[in-house]
This record gives sequence, C-alpha cells and structure tokens, in this order.
Amino acid sequence: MTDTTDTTTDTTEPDGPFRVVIDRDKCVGHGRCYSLAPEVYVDDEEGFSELADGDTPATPELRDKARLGAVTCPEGAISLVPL
Amino acid sequence: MTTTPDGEVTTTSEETARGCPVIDFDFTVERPALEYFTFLDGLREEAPIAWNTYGGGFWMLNRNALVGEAFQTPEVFSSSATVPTLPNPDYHFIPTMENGAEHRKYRAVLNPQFSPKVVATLEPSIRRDCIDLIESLVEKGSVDLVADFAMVFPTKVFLQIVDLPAEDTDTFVTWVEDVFAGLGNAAKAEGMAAAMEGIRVYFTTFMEEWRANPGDPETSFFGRLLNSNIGDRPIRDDEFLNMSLVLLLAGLDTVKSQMGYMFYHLATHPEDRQRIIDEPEIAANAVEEFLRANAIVMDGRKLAQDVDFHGCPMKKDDMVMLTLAAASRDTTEFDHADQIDFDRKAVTHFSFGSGPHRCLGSHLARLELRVVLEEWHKRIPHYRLDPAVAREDIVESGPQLGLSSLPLVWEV
Repeated sequence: MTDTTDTTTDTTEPDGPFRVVIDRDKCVGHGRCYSLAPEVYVDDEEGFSELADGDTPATPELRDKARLGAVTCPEGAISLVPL
Repeated sequence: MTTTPDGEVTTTSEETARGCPVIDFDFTVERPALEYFTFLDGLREEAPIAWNTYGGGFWMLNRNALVGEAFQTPEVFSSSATVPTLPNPDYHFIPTMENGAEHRKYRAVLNPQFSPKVVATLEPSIRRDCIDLIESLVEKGSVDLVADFAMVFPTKVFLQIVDLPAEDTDTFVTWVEDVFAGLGNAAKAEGMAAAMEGIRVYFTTFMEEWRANPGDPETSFFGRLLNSNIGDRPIRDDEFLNMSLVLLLAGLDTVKSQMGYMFYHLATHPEDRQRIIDEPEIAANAVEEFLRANAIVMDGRKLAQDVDFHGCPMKKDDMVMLTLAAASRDTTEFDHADQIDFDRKAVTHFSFGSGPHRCLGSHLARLELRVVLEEWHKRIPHYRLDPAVAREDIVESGPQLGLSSLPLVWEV
C-alpha cells in the first residue's frame, strides 16, 4: 500500500481531444460530478454517474467541467484520457 | 508520543512494541466546543496513525489519504463492526455491517429511494417544513439551536420522506438520542437497549398491520420496503425490522450534529454569516465546507486480515477508527485546512464516507443543510451566542461529535 492519494488521472494535452472515462466499479454515487458539472455528467436511477453524451468524445470547451468532476470525485473514479 | 487536550504527553512501552504512537484518549468526555477538532489536528500532525488504548483499544487513521485508502479497501478494512470500541457488537445493522455482494443487494433496494432525483422532488415540502419551524421560533428571540431546531427538523423531514405520522416526531427524537448516547458508552447501554426495543415494537406493529391490510405502496416507504426483494427473494421480517432501525438512526442524529457546528460557526463569524445573507447562492458550497471542516462521524472498521499498514502492524480483528474529523482538515491535502472558506474550489472530503458504504442519505443531508442556510437567514439573519452562557459551557463530545446545546439569541 502506498502513501499517495490518487484522485484523478488527466494525461490530456490542454488543447487536444479527449474522452471522459467513468470507472463504474469505483463509482458509489457521491454525485459530486453531476451536481457540479451537469454539462458532462448525469445520474442514473440509483444515483451513479453516467456521461451526458454517452460515448461521444468530449469537446474541448467542456474540459474544465469534465476536470472539475474528476477532481471532486472522492473515489477517483473519473479519468480524462487523450484520444 | 503525543499530547492530550490536557497537555499531558503520553509515551508507553507499547509504543515501541506496536511501532506506532500510543495514546489513551476518551471521546465521551464533554469538552468546550471545537476542542476535539483542535486536539485531533495536533494528533494528525504528530501521528498519522496512532493506537488508542481507550476501550478495548483501536487504531486511529488520521490523514485523509489513509482514511480514503481504508474506505476503498473493504476486503481488508471490513464493515463487520463499525464502532471502534465495539469489536463484537451484539447487534448486526443492515446494510451498514454487510460486506461485498450481500451489501450490494441491500443497497440496490435503498439507493433508488434516496437518489438525487427522488430527493429533489421532496425539496418543496422539506422547505415548507423548514420555514414553518423557523417561523415558530422567530418571535422567541432565543433558542437552544440543538434541541429546538436541529433535532426537530431532520426528524420531521425523515418522517415525511418515509410516510410516517408527524405526531410521532417526539417519540422518534427520544429513541434516537438514547441509542446514540449508548453507542460506545457502556454507562448508557441500558437506555440504548430500551430505545432499540421501542423502535422494534413500532415497526413490528407497522409490519403486522401492513401485512393484514396492505396500503398503497406509492404512498408508503416502509410498505415498499416490505414488498421489496433482496436479490431474487422477498425481504425477510428480521431484515425489514433491522433496516428500519438503521434508516432511522442514520438519518437523524448526524444532520442534527452537523447543523449544530454550522450555526456555531455562523454565530461566531458574522462576516461569513453576512455572506450567506448577501449571496445565498453560495449555500451549496458553504455546506461542503461545513461538512469538511467539522466532520462528525467517527467511522470504524474491523481488520479482516493481518496487514502492515504504512508501517503499523495491524492484526486480524483489530478495530480501526477512520478519524474523519482529523482527516478532512489534513494540512497536506487542503490549504488553510482548519479554516472554513466558502470560496474554496472543488471541496472534496470523506464526510459521507467512501467506497461501497457511502452514506445512503448524503443527498438528503446536503439538501436539508442547504435549505436551512437559505431559509433561516431570510428570517433570522443576525444572531449570536447567548452572552449569559459562558463559552466553555457550550460543550461537545463523541464518539460521534456533536454539541450538547447551542444557546443563540437575536433581537426581536
């Protein structure tokens, strides 16, 4: 076990295309992402997180919102992955 | 080696043996408001992990990353016992003390009932309850915030959400108080047992009446629970009674305690109160800060196996306290960690836990706290601690931290 707090992975370039990935095994329904960034994240019937646009790659103007959801996730369940 | 609130430095031979600092710290003693938080701030800096000899002895994880790791490693840090001083409790709460796939089956029944979507539909009636209660207090000019408001409001909300009669509010308040007084405090165990029996009889009666004469499940939360399936089989009577008790206990005392600290801060920080009055749109973020800076739950886990956890030799069946009150003010995680800052960006905390046992009622609790901030300050914007009460007589105690009373006064 390590001493690091792994909150999120964002390996994307500032202007590059990227995809948002939610690890459904880690999501436990805190709801921070879809409360703070409903443009990117929505809740399902149990309160778990889903992507508002499904598998569509995120547009660059949503990068800050996507990142906000990722950094506020207590489970570190959200990653921004470059395409 | 560490320092207790009384300034005693403790070192024992066990320190060397265990390889981690040892303290003897009793959470049930009443101390002036916020003293526990200050003590735990100091303990966290000296001892990220400590062994507390109090009760039967338990580990304390005091840094945010350690608490997160424990929450998120449930196969090692199990929920088979969740009160650090009670490694072998004579009760088994469902779903609190379930683990793994079994736990998931219970949560699948409960999660949809407390989802953000469902909770949002309740906001108008929660707001109405809140306004009614505040308006009944406005003309008084003084109040014990804890007894007269913080205990009553969440109970009214809970009874409404689970479709039980509002006239039972006082009965439920008393039962819940008695149970929490007894958790981890042996001197109050008898009152706790009596209250749990009272709750059991109440829900047994409900169950028998519902079975004899079922009502409309659309209008009865507990009716729906009785009709539900756990996995692929119908819920059993004992499960229904157990879960009813747990829902009641989990939803009431916690919101009360959080509200006490929220109002203590606002009564003693007029500049922050003024911001809530002037910029009510910051209420949601303010709630996150109150949750972070005064985390009240002292969750426990039981080791499912031997583990060397960051240098501390933990043994199977050892108890572990996840010291949220220390962790969420971790200076390595947050700037000015001990300060409440409504402008803090991207507030994260484990105040609702983490991992599979994430607080079921978290969305409801957030809503209740935000509505209280908004509606109270429209009607009673300016208030202060009652100057007739000495500051050191406003006290808190644990194991779940909370103020015993909070006397406030305002101009009428």
